Parts: sequence; structure tokens; C-alpha cells
Amino acid sequence: MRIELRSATRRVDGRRLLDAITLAIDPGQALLICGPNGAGKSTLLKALAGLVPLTGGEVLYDGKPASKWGPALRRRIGALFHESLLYDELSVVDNLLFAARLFGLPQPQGRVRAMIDAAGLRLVAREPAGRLSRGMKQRLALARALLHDPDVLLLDEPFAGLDARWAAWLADRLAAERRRGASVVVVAHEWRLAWPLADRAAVLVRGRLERLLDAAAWDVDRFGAEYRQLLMPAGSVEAGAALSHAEVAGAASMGAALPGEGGGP
Amino acid sequence: MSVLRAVAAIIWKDLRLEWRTGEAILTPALLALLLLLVIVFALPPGVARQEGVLTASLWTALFFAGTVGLARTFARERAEGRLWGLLLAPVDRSAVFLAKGLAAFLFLAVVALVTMPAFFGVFGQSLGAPLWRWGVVVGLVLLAYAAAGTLLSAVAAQLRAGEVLYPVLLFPLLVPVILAAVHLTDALLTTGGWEREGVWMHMLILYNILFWGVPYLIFEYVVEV
Repeated sequence: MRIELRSATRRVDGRRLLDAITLAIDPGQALLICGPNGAGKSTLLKALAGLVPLTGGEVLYDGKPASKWGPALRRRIGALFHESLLYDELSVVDNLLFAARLFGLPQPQGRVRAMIDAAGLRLVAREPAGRLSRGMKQRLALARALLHDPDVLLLDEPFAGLDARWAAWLADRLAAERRRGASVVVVAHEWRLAWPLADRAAVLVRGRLERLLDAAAWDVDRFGAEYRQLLMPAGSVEAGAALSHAEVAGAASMGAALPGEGGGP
Repeated sequence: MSVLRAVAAIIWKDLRLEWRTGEAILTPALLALLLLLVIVFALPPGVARQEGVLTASLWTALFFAGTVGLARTFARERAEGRLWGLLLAPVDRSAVFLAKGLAAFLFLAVVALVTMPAFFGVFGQSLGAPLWRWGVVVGLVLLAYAAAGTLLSAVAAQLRAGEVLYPVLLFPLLVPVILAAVHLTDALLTTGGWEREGVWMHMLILYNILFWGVPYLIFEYVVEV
């Protein structure tokens, strides 16, 4: 499904959370969105999901404004946010059964069983979601997002809490979803994990789309340096404050020098 | 059809959650029975069997105890972004209001079923009217209570101190329902029917139409951030 943002803007109390963002994602493509805390990444995902309204511009799916699609559009969207969307008191099975019934999937029991096996949750299938480890809960949240074979996947920090084995599983799974024709939008602080998946990468800073580049044409080190330069322009105290520890660590491990360590961007 | 399917799914989920937590039935039912005890202890000797005492006690306990469960209707959905999960369902978002309201009604009905016999027993009163008439009156009152309570719970869940403000905002909204409940219950106890208080029956039906109909139409905007 082709996703298009045209001058997408969201202002709340005079603050621009999204500032005239224009971009498009073709079917089967994956877009990686990175940026510092408060850049508007999660707001952008929620706007794409139709959960927060835009105050300007529009989102189009297959050329049709999202507002004109109605509920049928939501059948084609799978989403994972910072929040798990899960009920801690319900078991793994019940959480997925509920989602399957909500989406009107035929034979929900079979679909849920298959997804539980795929996400490696069979041994804890009857456990309440609240008792799962961080990684297991993340896998359950991912299973919920993937359950109905959506054409659009909106994933906020999908690799968070996953160990190397399950991060690889997720990467494989997302590659398979793309081959099926699903469009994937991934927001990731630890963007290096998501980089191999991405066709394009977008850098958001203070709600603005600062860079939109073709990931295939950039190697990961070069992007690391570019990303760091965007977040930490020389002498910018404000941008420095916006750069989180995770991003500093990420940029440092990419070979980009930290301020005061010589050889800044 | 898809709306009914989504409504059934949400009610099924709420029943499962209630089985695990007891927030919407067990706690309000216990609170209603505790309120009954407090009322019995507070009343002077001999007053308990006087006309009107049962009605006042019954509805005071049911309305106050009911808020404990109703307040959680949407507050529970706020945690972990669960409301986003409901709003992402491929159905008209009004289905969420309908499902949550009907689940709230079911829970209130169970609380009433469990606690009402205790009230009649303690105050030594007989029903005075056929059971179906009690079913109609109590059913309409609880439906109205569930509709207003669910709407306000959705609004309160968006506010910072929503759960604290909830009863303060809810009870003024419920004044017509409380008046109708009291008048109709008295009529059932004294005349065996509601014909004497027909105006309150009409008002209760109208309230239900208004508080189920309008939120159903505007729910999309109520939950919009």
C-alpha cells in the first residue's frame, strides 16, 4: 500500500510537533525514521495510524486521503507503539484472541496458535502478559501487530528489549512482510539494527524532516556521521541537550567523534 | 455485522478481565453491602421499616458502589495505550462506546442482582410488584447509569485528575436518573406498578435514548486527542 504524507503538520498549544512533512513510501518499501527525543517520531506514526489528527496537510493511502477511507483502512494497518497495547491481566492467548476477534479474522484460534509459535511464546501462552519478561512482552506486542497480515506496518522501537536471536527473527519477519508487499515504517533509536531493513531513512528534528535519503546509497558509517552532524551542529547547546545518551552511544560506536573528544563533525 | 462482532469481542475481553481482577463486580458489590451495613447502623431503631427508607438506602448504595467500577471503564484502557488498540479496530469507533457501555451495564446488573435481596431482607420488605416490573425499572435505571457513566469515564480518562473528578462530575449528570429511580421504586413498592409515576418512566426512557444515542454519534470526537 502506498503511503503519502503531504505537508503533514500537527500543532499543539502553539508547538509544532510535525512541521510540513512530505514524503512517500511505496508498497514493499521500508522507511526508517530516526531523530532525538521529542523530534515527533511517535507522533508521526500515530498520525499515520489515524490516532492523532493533523492540523494541516494530509495522509494518503493509495492516493486516497486517510479521512476518506473510514474503518476499512484500519484493517490494513498493524501498529506497535511505545505502549504495548496489551492487557497485563489477560493471558498471552487471550490478548491475541481479543485482537483477532476485534479484527474479525476467520478461524482466530488457529491464527493465534500459529502466531504464538512464530513468536516463540508457546511455553508462556497461558501466562498473564504482565508476568512476561520485557523481551517476551515485546514479541507478544509484535505478534499482535502482525496478526492480521497488515499491508502497512507502523513500528515504534520494534527491536527494544529483543535479544540478538529475536532481533534477527524480527528482521527476517519484516523482510518477509516487505516481500509480501507490506509497507513498513520503523522508528528506532537504535537505528543501526533497523538500517539493513531500510530502503530509505528519514531524520526528524523538532518535527521537521531534516533529511530523507536513499539508504542503499549510504553505508552505515557515513549515515552515522551525517546523523550526528544533524543532531549536534557545532556550538549548538540546544541540539546537544536534545541528543540522548542512547544516540550519543550509537553515534560514538559508529565512529563519529563526540564533542570534546576531538575531530567533531 | 462488523460492529456487532467488535462489540462482542470487547465485551468478551471485559468479562475475562473482570474474571481476573474483580474490579467491576466484586468490589462494587462488597461496597454496596458495606454501605447497607453503615445505613442500618446509622438509622435510629424502628426507622428501617418506614416507607421510603428502603428506596433511599438501595439507590444510595447502588449508585455510590457503581462508580467504583464505572470509573475504571476507560481508565483501564488508558494504561499501556490500550485505547489506541481499540481505536485501531476496523470498525466504527462508536462500537467501542457501545461495547464498553453494555459491559458496564452487565456488571452493574450483576451487582444489583447480588445486593438487592440483602436490602429487601434487612429492611423486611416484600417486592410488592411482579418481578418483571422490577426488572424493567432497575434495568432502565442501570442502563441510563451505565450510559452516562461510560461517557464520562471516556472524558475523565483524558483528564489529569480524571478518576478523582469522576464522581463529582457524574452525580450532577445523574440527578434525573436518581429521581426517576426513587419515584418508580416507591411506586412499585406501594402500588405494584409504575402507572402513578408514568412521567418518570417516560423521562427515564428519554434519558436512555439521549445518553446512548448522542455519545454513540460523537464518540469519535470524545476520544480524539
